[in-house]
Amino acid sequence: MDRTNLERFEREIMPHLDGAYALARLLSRSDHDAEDIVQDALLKAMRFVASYQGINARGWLLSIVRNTAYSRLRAAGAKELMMDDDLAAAADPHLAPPLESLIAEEQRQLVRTMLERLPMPMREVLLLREVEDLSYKAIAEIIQAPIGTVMSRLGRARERLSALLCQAAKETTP
Amino acid sequence: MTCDELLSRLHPYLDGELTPDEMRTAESHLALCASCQAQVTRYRALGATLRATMPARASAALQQRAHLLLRDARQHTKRRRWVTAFAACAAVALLGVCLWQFTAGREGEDAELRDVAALHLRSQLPGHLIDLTTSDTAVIAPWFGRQLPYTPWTGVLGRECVLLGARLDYCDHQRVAVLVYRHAGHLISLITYPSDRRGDHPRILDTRDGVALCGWTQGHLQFYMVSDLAQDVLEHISHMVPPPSA
Repeated sequence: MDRTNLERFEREIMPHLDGAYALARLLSRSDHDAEDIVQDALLKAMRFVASYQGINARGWLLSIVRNTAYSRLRAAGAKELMMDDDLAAAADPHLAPPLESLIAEEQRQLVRTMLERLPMPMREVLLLREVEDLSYKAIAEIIQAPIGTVMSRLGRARERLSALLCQAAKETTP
Repeated sequence: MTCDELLSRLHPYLDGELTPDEMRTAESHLALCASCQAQVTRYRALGATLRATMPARASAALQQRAHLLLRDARQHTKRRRWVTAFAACAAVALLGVCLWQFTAGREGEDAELRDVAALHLRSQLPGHLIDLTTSDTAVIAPWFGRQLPYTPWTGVLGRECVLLGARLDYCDHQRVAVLVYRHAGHLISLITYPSDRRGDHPRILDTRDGVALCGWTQGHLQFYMVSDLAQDVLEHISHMVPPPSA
């Protein structure tokens, strides 16, 4: 890598390290794996930064992180890569207790645990939308799926997570 | 707008992906429908919870690794720049040496050609042409052998060239053997001397001071043929000197 590309990497790619870590952490469900994944992704990004011509550096880095995470998990033989639509069966929202009660600090661990029970494709759209605040179009480019798929998967992911949290709340509330 | 219609667009509504018109329609329904508004509130709270749950920053370990990665890349780039700079300097130096050698070689060759031309022209001054007048190579060869530390080529050049005799001369800082021939009224000097040029060199054809020159190496011997003949005729005759193996 020459100096120009290195400077470009530092200026455009490195600021998105936090987002890259959040995505890798969510996909791998492990701090250590997330660090490995992001490091691999950074190395790839360094190698290919010269060929990166886009304007959305964050989306570009997140795509690399995602691909790195998927190929690692595929190599590890993870079964959850399959998108199981049955898993996404929605709970009846009208029966749910108010979510506000779950926002307390001590409940965050529970949210994380439930989030990690979602299939990977659901976890990633949730993160890209809710945390990274990306548009459907940007998410579609990253996960290489149509915008309609992003929308429906995001809806199912929210419903599923919401249902899991309601269930957990019911179990912990006598 | 019914509740079903709103719920079918709930997620694009939450994500701001509806058109401005659709947004207004949805908001007008939400303003009147507590049940749908409760859904919106629920999911907005879910989003906020997710944001609070996610790590806001890369872990310290990852930040450290990224830092090291960048440092390595910077050093590598720096080293590469040194290597590039060094390679560039070396290339320039090498080019300089090559140019110098080339120029020196050209100058050497040029001086040699001038020397050879002068030798031929000088030989035509009265009394300088021939030391040993004979067309018998069996006489010339031992005569050369007594006077020179090397064995020059001695021979005839076809039927159209008449061997007039032999001469010793001085060229390229040494005593050299010269055979003198006549071809159709033109004198030809064939100069032979040891050379450190080895291997096959392309035949040099040139003109100096109005005389044609043809030079080549054969084994360890340098040959020059000089005459006021046309260059192409001279080259033709030069090929009559048999290769060393013959």
